[in-house]
Amino acid sequence: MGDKLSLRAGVIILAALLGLAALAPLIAPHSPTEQNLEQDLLPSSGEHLLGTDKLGRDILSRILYGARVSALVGTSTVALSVLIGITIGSLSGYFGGWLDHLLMRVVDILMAFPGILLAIAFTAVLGPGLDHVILALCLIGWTGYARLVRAEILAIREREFIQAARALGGSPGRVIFVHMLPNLLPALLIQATFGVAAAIIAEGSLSFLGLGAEPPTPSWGSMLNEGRQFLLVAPHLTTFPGLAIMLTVLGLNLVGDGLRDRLEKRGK
Amino acid sequence: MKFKPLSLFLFLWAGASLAACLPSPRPDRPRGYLVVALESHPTHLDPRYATDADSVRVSALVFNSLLRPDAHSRFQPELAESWQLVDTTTYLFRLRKNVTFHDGRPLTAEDVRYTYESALDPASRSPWRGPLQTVKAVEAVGAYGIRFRLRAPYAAFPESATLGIVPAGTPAPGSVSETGLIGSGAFSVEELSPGERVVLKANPSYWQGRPALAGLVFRTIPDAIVRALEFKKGTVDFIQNDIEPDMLPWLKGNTDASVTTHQGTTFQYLGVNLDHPVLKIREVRRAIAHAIDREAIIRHLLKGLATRATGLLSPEHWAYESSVPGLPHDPEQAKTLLDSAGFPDPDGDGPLPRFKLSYKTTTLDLRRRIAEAFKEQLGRVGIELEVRTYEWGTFYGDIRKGNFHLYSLAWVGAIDPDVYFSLFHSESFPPQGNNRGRYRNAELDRLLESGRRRLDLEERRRIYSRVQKTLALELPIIPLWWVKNVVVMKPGIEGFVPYPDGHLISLKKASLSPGRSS
Repeated sequence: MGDKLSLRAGVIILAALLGLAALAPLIAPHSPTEQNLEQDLLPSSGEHLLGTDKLGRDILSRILYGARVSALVGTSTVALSVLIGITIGSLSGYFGGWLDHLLMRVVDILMAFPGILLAIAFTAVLGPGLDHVILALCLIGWTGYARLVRAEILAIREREFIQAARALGGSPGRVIFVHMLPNLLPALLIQATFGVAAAIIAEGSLSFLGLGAEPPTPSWGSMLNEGRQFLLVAPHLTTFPGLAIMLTVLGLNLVGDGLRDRLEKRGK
Repeated sequence: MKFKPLSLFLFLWAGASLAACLPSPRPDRPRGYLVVALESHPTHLDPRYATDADSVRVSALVFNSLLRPDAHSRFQPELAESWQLVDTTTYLFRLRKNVTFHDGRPLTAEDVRYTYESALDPASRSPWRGPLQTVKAVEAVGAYGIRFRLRAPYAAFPESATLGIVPAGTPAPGSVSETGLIGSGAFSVEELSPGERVVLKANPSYWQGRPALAGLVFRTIPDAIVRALEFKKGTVDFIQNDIEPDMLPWLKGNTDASVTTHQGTTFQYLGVNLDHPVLKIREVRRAIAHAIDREAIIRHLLKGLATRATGLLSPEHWAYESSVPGLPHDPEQAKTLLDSAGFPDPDGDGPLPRFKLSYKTTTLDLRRRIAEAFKEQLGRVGIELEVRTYEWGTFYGDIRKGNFHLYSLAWVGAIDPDVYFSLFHSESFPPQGNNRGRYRNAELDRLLESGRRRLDLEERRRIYSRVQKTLALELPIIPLWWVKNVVVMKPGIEGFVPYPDGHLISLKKASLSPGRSS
């Protein structure tokens, strides 16, 4: 089956990347921030497998540590967004009425902004830094989850098992968290997988624009930015971080697609 | 069918945007024009308001001033035929009689008087008001004589005579578009597209003779690599500075560029906030100076396009004091100095710093890279540097407000040593002057005051020698390097003379040889 294969391939890519990120301090051949101005822009060699950047730092080591930055931004952005999304979405879906109207109009307003533009404005005001990037991405990120949760809750609100739980005197909190949320997990999981990929790309874009990770934090986006000026004389500075971003996002999308096919089929 | 105004509107709009796609009447490169790439768009061409380097450089091609520094930073008469010091506070200039503005009006003393008075008018908010504060009165003496009366003797006055002259009655910018600006220079303004380009046309009746070039196109290309690629493509003929040093070998190898480097006077320094409890200690500033490996940064990051600086004035300057010692890279001495200043390293070579400082810089790639090198080098002597990058406006605003620990900036085009007054006198805190580090030294204040009042060159040389020795000892700013100018141009451009401050004034004498391929 093609679906299974892509899910498997995605899981393998992600597991490998997460493993490399977790083991970065053990396997990185050099420190990601140690400079050696004499050894700048070196091509691939035994000493530096992927070469060195303008400040003589080992590119392989920076990519390995950069995976940690991407993983951190990707997961924490999504975790925070999901948390806010679940809270807002379930309040809105469960209680309905004016609360639903109010919350959904807030979501509409936020969704009307181009996400990356709002994130740029936000980090430009707060100043660069990974914490600000995560906050900026959550600012818009939660709206998708809120919509999703609300829609799913509306769909199951009148189902018999929910009615039964309510009839038995379950408090709204108990009904939402114990009876409703477990039914939403598959949909949330799929959306979150794509969300991580989107967050990693957004972090890359912001760092590329100089609004993300502060130097010398090794972030793939800022590595792309630093290498851009040397595109013609040392293309390896941009090729390898670019490939790293591509692989990661590919892995996440494969997993997301695979999960959707499996979970949604099962649900039908 | 109902009439739908919206669809009609959409239709019209589509037609209008189609028309916009048609070739514009003025081509990118009119015949005989030279295309110069600039990093930032000139903000004001009106000489009374031009402050950023690119504005000043373009403005000098459109406007003339009484005096103009030559390639050796010596003042030469331009609109002035002759000039003399009548007494210690009075300067008299005689104007050339054959000068006309681009619209044919003759340039007379009345225009000069108007230009200076409008710049001095508090309502004008001209940045020239500061430098002109010693001027008490500007008087026309007949049609071609102009007299300046000063409040006190002011040795740097000739620098004030470099203000470009506009026709009497020219309003301040903002009220009218700058396209209508009229000067008396070698070129007139033909087109002004903000953020895009400035096109200048040769002035056929220029009093020094018609320029050989038919005109100049200044294109704003903010990105260094795009500038290099446009040059390769042949859509840019001339780039000065702001080129990634590592790109120069590529440009030499892959294009027909002629690449030349020239000693410059632009002085890069590390600014220090002297109100900071740690940085106000002299030993700490000395330690930072010894911790920075200028040589390695110049050799590798700047590819030799700079020379280690001992102070603001470069060795070519008449007042340069050569006995001022340099600050060699010496991390051991830096550590000893920090120990003796009362900041021992809590854990030797371990990760804990002696203290933390923040370093502000702009988001330009090269600036960020240099910041990272500083961070590493200061880290080796136990000073943790937190690098903060900002876009130019925010950065410069913070620096002027004194909201910083350390920053780096360059001083472009120091001609008269009186520039020290603006940088270090205790009355020169922003916005009055540029003493952004809040340096206070009563003895230096006295030296700087007498330096601007004495008119004898030898006496001034002695005064500024003492100033330079004091500053080298006190280090209210930490000298880094003097930047070299790089000129990349297509072959066949003749007659361009590089200026140490990066001025492009000699383009009025440049020509394109006929055999040039384009």
